Formats: sequence, C-alpha cells, structure tokens
Amino acid sequence: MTFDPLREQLRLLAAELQKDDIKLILGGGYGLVLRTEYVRRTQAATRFEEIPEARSTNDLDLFLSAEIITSAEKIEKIRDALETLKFEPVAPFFQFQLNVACEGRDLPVKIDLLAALPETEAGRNLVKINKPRIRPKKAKNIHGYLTEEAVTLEENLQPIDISEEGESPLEIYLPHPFSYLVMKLFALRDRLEDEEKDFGAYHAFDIYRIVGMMTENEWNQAIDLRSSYRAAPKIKEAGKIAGELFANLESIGVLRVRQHARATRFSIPPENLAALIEDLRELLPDI
Amino acid sequence: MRRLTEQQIRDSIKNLEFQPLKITVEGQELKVASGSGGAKVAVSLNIGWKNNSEKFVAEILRQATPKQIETGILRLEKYTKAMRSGRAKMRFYPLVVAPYLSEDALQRLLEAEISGIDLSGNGVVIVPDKLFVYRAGAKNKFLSSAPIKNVFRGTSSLCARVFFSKPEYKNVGEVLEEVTMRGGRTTFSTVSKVLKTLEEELIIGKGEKIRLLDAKKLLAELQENYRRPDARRSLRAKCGDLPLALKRVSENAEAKNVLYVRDDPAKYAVMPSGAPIVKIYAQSIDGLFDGVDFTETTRFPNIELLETDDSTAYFDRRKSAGFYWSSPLQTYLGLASEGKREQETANGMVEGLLDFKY
Repeated sequence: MTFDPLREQLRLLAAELQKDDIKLILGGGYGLVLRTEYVRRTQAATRFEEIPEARSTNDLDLFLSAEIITSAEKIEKIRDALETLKFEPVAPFFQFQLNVACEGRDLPVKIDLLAALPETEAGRNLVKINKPRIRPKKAKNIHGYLTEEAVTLEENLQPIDISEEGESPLEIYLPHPFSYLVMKLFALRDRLEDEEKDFGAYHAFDIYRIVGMMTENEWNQAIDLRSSYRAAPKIKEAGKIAGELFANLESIGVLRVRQHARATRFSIPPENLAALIEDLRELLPDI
Repeated sequence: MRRLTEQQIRDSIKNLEFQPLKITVEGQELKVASGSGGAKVAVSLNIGWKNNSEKFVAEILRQATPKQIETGILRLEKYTKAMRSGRAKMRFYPLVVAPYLSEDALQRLLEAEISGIDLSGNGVVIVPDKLFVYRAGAKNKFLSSAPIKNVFRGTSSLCARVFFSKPEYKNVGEVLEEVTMRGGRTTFSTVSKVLKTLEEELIIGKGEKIRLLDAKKLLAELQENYRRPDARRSLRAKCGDLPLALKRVSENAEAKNVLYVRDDPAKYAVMPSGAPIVKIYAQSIDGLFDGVDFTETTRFPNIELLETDDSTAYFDRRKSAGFYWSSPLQTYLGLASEGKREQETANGMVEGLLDFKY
C-alpha cells in the first residue's frame, strides 16, 4: 500500500484526540475518499451501480461538533494536538499546515477547521462569531470557519474505523450523505463562476458521487432529515440551489457534472443523470 | 458486394500498387506444379525497388480466411520448392494476393516468411536479408456478402455456442439437433453455412467428425461480437416479499408458457457485490408479473425485468431450484461486455468454459 500522508496525519490527530474523547468529523474531499473505500469494502448496494474513483485532495476538512465549538477547554485540546503534531497556522487560526516528507518531496497536508452555528440559543450564547470565524468564548488561538449550511452535520454520523491492521480501533465520523449534499450544493454555487476552481465542476461531481453512494437505509434517513429540517432557512436555500442548478439535463449543475466526468474519463450512464435530478428534487424540494 | 472471382483478382493484379515498390506482371500463367490434379498455374510478378528486383510467384486467394491462408502457404511452399528443384532451377519468392489481408493474416504470412499484398492497400513484402516492407490499417474495400454476415452474433451464434456444451458431432444434423434441444430455432441450411465459416476460421475441423479445434478463439469471437439482448421494455421494481414474488413468477411462466431466464452471475462465479437485484429476461413482463405485488421504482429496486424475444437470452437455459437460469456461456458473455469488476468475474469463468465444466 502506498504511503498516504493525509491518512497518516488524520490517524495521528484522531489518536491524540481519542485520549480526550473528542470526536472528529471529517467532511470534504477526503471524507468522500473514505466513504468510497467504505462502500467498496462493505459491498453495500448503492443508488448507482458504478461508483467513480474518489478524487485526490491535499486537505482535511474537520468539522467541530457543537460540543467542541461551545467549549474553550475542548477546542483547545484540538489546538494542543495540532501543535504536538507540529502543524502551523496558515490562516489564523482555522487553517493549519504541515509539510510531510513523502518519496523525497515535501507534501503539504492542510487541515481546515469548520463549525456549524450552534442550533440552540444557549449554544449560540457560548460562542463568539466574527464572520467567517467562530470560536467558544474565552478560547485562544483556535477557531472554526463558520459553515452555516452544516445544519444537519451531527445527524446520523457514520463511524469509520481508520486504524491500521493489528491496532486498536480508531474511529472518526463522516457526515450523513444528506448533510454532505447540502454543503456541496452551497460549495458548487459559490464556485460556479470561479475559473481557478474549475467552475465548481468537482463539487458538482461530488454531488453525483454522494447520491450514487447512498444506500437504501441512508436514503430513508435522508427522507426523515428532509422532513425534520424542512423549515430550516439553510435547507430551504439548498433546495433553491438544487432547483436552479439541477432542474433538468441542460442545467448548469448537470453540465458541470458531465464536464468533470469527461475530464476524468468517467462514463456516466445517461439514466443516472436523470436519477440525480429526480433524487435532488425529492430530497431538497425547492419550496 | 459480391465476392471477386479469381479472374477479376488476376485482372486487378496489373494495377497493384505498393509504394515504394514497383510491381509488374511477368506472366499470367506460370506453370508451377503438375500431378494427378493436372497442371497448376499461378501469376508471376516482378517486384522492383531502387536498382533491385526479384521474381515472385503469386497464389490468388478469393478470400483470405485463416484456412485459405494456411492452404495458400502450403501451396506456395510446394510451388517454390518444385521450381527451385525443377529443370529451370528458377528462384521465385512466394506471395499471396487477396482482395483483403487483415493484420492477423499479415502476421501469419510474416511468420511463414511469405509475402502478401491485397487490393485494399495492405501488404508485407519480404526478400530475406534484402527487403522488408509492411503496411497495414487500410480498410477492406471488398466486403463480401458472405453466406451469413456474422456467425458469432445473434441467432446464428447458437450453432457456434453448442461447441461449448459438446465439442464433437457426427454430422451437421447432430449439430442442428443439439441447437434445437437447447432451445434454439434454426435450419439445417443455416447450421451448414455457419459450420462452413467456422471451418474457414479454423475454429472447427470437418473430417470424419465435426470437432472444435480452437475453443479459445471461438470464445474470443463470441465475446467480441456479443450484443446484450435488446429489451423492448424494462421494469425496475421493489417487491416487499421477493421470494414470494419469484415463486409467482415461476408459476406464471409455466401456466402461461412464457419463456424467461434469471440472469445471475453468482450461479456460476464469485461476484464481488453486495445485494444485487434479481434480473430476469422474459418474453412478456405482464405475463410473468401477473398477480405479483410490486411497486415500480428505479430507486433501490430489488428486481428488474427485461422484455425481449432475443433467442440468445434463453438459449441453453438451465433449470435449478424451480427456476430457469441463463446459460453459463451467456452469463460469461454478459459479464465480459460490462465494467472492470464484471470482466474480472468473467475471467474466473474462462477455464471452466474451455474445459467444458458447465
């Protein structure tokens, strides 16, 4: 197996934080890498038969749960763990970087800390927000990037064991596909005109990937989440984005999916694009 | 287009072009051998390049099938040997001329150190230690209306497929019987034509018995020419009680005389997949699903029905546990035409097919 510096750093950080019982939630591209591996390993029956290879990335998007973002003591454990592992802040203090030697080169491993807005009034009273930053009151030199669309972040988290063979279990958590979809829809909208970011094509393809990897059980959970959160403004906004970008086969979101598929030589069965539109419409109706 | 006659090919030789070589016809009736079959005549050519030239004796093939190529090679070896040892002690290099020489044919000629030029622009010219010219890739300008267009596809392929059930037959009639017994419908004349093509391709031999000679090649041809049964209608559905639904399907098929097969690679191979949906080919979806409780859905269905009259889907179906299943060969061909994972599964079936284990 080839050395994967991202996985290595993720394991080291998870091991450090496990001592303090701090839960790591991994989103972003690398979360999807682990999700793809999981689906393949468990041979779960998924929405689409063929799952594309996960795309490469060099950063870890770590979400801070409500429990952490409202507690200076807990978030500082994360800061200390990052210091122990020699990560240095590049965007103070929610983006950190470490150069890892790999095959004669220094590869940068970046960690982005992100956090949802606490759901309750009591929770919101415990944080200080200076957009885009959010941190627990009294916490020093550490905060998260406020991700307001991560409304359902902690719902139906998927535990993944990232320990190596022979080691004791080391669990991290992945967001539920519904949460992932909502966040990716916002990311796509924000990058739609960004030439440097490939006009958001990889975010669009991640949306295809997320829908494609859903199991029946996750679909049913997503339907429940839709019902529970239908009144949440950010979920409504996600529905609006989905309605605009994935209205039909000629919509810009679908074109971006196809654009990325062509670039990565992945052949999408035409019926899957229709299914993607149908699924988004059902999960995130534009009300 | 009809196949060219030998005379038409002879007439075309004078216009043969194979740059940078210069080809001229020396004689149209070179006597190359005599025996009980009477005198044999071939065309003699002169091939020149720069300030050199050599004489060639050309064997004309109306169609360069593998069998014709092999026969041509043997004839040319005989001619050149006879001419070298004859009174005139003439030195001629052997050459095949045909309307079209495929890359496989050119490779075979190259192996035998025999030259070959076609009327489509391909060829290999060899004069040991002096000259080597190889040109391939030109399209066949003389696609003939062969007796049967493709013996490896569709209903015609059923005759070829039976060689994986039984590799040896007494005669054409027995092959026809085997096809019929396994659920295929064809005629004596079709079987005869297919067998002729298979013989030309050196896949079977027709001596005292009709025998499979090259199972690997037959499998490769069937795989290359395979097309998934064309479904005129499909239905993806979710059955709350799948075993009960399948029981009903089996009963309906029997009562209404509906031809069907369940297509499940797991029957013959280890399929690396979780809970695949049940896939059934049937002549009539309505007939098969009559009285079955289901909800039509494309989202996480547990059964898929494909309506088709394509005989290859049902040919050689196997009955087991109250159900009809696709034949191992059909299952293999289906897998081999799909994605990487399915192809890997198909690879695991090759040995069993070649050893007639199914």
